[in-house]
Amino acid sequence: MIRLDNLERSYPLAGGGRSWVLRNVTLDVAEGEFVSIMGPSGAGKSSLLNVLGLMDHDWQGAYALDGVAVGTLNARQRQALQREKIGFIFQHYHLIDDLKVWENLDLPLQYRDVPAKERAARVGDLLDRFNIVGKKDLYPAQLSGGQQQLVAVARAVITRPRLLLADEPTGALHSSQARMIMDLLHELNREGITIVQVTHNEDYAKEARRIVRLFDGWIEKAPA
Amino acid sequence: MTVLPLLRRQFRSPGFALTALVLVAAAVLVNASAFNALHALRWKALPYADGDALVDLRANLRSFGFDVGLTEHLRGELAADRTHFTSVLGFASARATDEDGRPWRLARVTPAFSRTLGVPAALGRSLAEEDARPGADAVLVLGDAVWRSRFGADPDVVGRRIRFGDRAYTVVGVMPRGFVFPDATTEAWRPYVMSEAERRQSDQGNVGDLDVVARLAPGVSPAQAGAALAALLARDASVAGLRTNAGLVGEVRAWRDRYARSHWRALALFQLAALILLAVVAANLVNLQLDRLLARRRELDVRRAIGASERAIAREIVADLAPPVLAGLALGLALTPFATGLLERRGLLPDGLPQGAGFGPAAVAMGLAVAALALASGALAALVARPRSRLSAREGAAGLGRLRPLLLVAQVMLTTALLGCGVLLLRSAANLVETDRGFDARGVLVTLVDPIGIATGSRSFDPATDTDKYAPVVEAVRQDVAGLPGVDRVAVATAPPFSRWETVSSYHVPGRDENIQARGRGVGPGYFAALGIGLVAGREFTAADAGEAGPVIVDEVYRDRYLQGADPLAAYVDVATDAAGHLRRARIVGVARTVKHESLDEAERLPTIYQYHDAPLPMFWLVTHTSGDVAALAETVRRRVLARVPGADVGVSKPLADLVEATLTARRALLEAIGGFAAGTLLLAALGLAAVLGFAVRRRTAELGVRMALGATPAGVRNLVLRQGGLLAAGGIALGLAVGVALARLLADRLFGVGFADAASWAATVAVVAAVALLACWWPAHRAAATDPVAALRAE
Repeated sequence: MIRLDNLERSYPLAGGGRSWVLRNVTLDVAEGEFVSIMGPSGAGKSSLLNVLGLMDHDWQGAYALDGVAVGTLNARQRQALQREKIGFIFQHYHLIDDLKVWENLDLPLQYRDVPAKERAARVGDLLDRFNIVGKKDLYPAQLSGGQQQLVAVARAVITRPRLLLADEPTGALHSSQARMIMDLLHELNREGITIVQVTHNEDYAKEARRIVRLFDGWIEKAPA
Repeated sequence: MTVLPLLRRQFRSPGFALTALVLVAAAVLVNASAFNALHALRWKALPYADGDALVDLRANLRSFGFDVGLTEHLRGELAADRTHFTSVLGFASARATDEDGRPWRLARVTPAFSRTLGVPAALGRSLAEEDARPGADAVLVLGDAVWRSRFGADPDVVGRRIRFGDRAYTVVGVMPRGFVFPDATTEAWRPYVMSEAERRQSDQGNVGDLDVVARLAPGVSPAQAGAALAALLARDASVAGLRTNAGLVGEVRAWRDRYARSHWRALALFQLAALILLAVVAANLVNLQLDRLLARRRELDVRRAIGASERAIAREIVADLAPPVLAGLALGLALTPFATGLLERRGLLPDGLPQGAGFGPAAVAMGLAVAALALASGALAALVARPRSRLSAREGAAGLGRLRPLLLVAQVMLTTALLGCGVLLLRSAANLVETDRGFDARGVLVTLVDPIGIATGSRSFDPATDTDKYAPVVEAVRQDVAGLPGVDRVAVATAPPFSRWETVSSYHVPGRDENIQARGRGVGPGYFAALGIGLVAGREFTAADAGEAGPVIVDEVYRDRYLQGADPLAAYVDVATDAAGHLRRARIVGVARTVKHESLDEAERLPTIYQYHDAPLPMFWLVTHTSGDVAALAETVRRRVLARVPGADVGVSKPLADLVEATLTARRALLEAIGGFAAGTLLLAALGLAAVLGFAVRRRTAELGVRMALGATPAGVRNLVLRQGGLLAAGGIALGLAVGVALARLLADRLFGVGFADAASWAATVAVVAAVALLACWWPAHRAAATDPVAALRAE
């Protein structure tokens, strides 16, 4: 699903020279895998997630997503690939405050020009599946943290992505809510979605099939 | 984005929505009303068939500095010139009072009324050639408005008889709705048939009695028509005297320019100021949007992450702006008719414009253009705020820091330019008001009395019999008014200052070969005292000056021009005794201060010679000085005149100060408009400056915290921010000076006693803008100085 080969990312420094955030990263993630990325602050976890999510294209090396060489794509093609393959979950949910729950779920489908009737059907299915039908007309601020993250996961998967990138998905939740989200991620993974999560929680990291550890931009351990 | 979330967002941030609405409404209002007026003046179709083929033909008396109409004799000559003109129409305005005492505003029109204007009657018929035959001329064509208001749109009005004075007129037709000629104040038209006196005047080349409009022959340009008129005036014997003495030349202009010429420039400046305001509003909208986008930065990133393209984001940003912009557009357009009315009342638009200046497609088009620009400001903000790429928040402000300072410099620049022009106009107005006008208008009432009723068309004047008959009436009226409570002095005159009455005659200065032209004034005893016109030498007229050998009083212009070094009271001037030009020698008994006659900014072009005249006829002006309420006196005088002479017509009875004021109306309106816009742009620029600096301070909170943690004092931090704002303001002011002086060149003909590059005015402008900019910088600087280093660093 993901193949990184000697990928590097750096930023220019004002006085000359460069600040490196990812160094010689080589990583393979198979389809249907569940991978955790760990590391101390500043290790390059978020930078790696940005690259994997096609949000950052200013890197050197090679990156193939589902067999597509990302480096050869222009901005429009990258966005099309991202829309087709990738869903995002954020630590702080990042639901749109002005939109009701169902409108938040509807939004990614709008951006993909899905017809209104089909959007309504998919939103209804997902509300039902995530057991949040009763919350559909509430605003994010009216939900608990766990409920918001539940909606955020629903929003991430409503476009049926094959790769789910989760940046500290349980970082802002207390343990029972975090457990619920992790169970949900496992369920999605069992259904075939590849998941890459960034986490500081050692226990939740271990629930993944494998852990990739970053330190100062380098991968410490990348089991084949 | 669907509509409901869009509207919800407006209610969630009502401050932004309301601000955008008000800004857009203001920009739409001023630009739509300005463009609507400009369009009406320059491009809107005239209410005549092929109105652009109509031209106004006038006589320009270059030596006197003004232009007037022609004569019936000249009109006849022009009508015979079929090479250049298809038809030529003459007209003169007249007033009348019907048997019910209702006043009418009429136009007396020569034959070819319908043919020249190309508009048939809507009911009955228009005026025909045969109606102009003496004896057959008692017919009347009504305007649509008067037909509706006075006759209840009666379809059987044709054939009705209306009596004006001692003559009854038969209504023969009603013109269609929208037909206006020569302006919207005219209610009806009757044939122009000259009285004997008028014919004499016409034959003697007394230009100005008849205004002339002509329809150009196919393929003939106004310039060619001008050449034809010039040729006629060069050869016609009736105007030989004016050719020699008054520098007579012909002037042909498009009929539209009759109204547009004197207002076009002021309206164009008004539109320019409105566009500058629009530019500043647009810059502020971009600033507002960028602030808003900064607040929504993370949300927009999330939208991108879940699949929104940059185009979709931009669409949402523009859509977000759409509700307040559309509401502002609707509000601005709804108020535009009121603003247009205000432009008319304030003199920026001429009264009674034939084509009208009502709300129309031009206002809507300009409103839509303003709204489109406002929406484009959202698109520009979206473009500028487009991030490079990241999920991290650390780069969130990237791209927001370049455009805003540029916008701000532009705002300060435009504000400086506009304010500078406002200051120049203000100083001009002050100079005008303070200019020495030569008379004192305080407490002075001027009243035009027509004892015979000539102006209303009810009677005619025969000098042979009426002079002796009405001369005692003039004195009786004067004494009646002099006896009113509170009245100090009353004098009669042929043409007091600012009456818009003018007589220029030939005089002979002993010792000079050629005659001179001078303003001729007939005034009775007490005239100079009533008007507060000082005498620098000699004395006023007294009753003893009556008679055929009466003396004259000259003004300072005459003295300085023709009596250098000589004792004016020992000098003489030869004055005409009749129309044939016979002269008599008159002694100069006084030198009066030079007065302004028509406008406060007029040049001292012609000298003035006052002759004794205690009974000017057929009409005379009363100049009344009171120590009481001059406005209240106007009606009292009118009643007193009518009580003495029941059939008289009192045309004007107004405080002289009001007549002077009226000449300043258009100038004041422009000053108010540009001053108002300048104040608006100054406020917006100040808000913009405060917003940009506030934004910069918010971005630099951590840096400021570090500086303070390292020992910077609050004053040091405050000065840091003030310097940042000061540099932007200084850049804007410097550019504004350059642009402003260039802009002020366009105002040069509106300035009085001050140059467009007047250093004091521009220095004052710089001082005001700099002071306001400093105030605007103060609050963000104060907030920066109050930064708590611990809190700032913790937040980071």
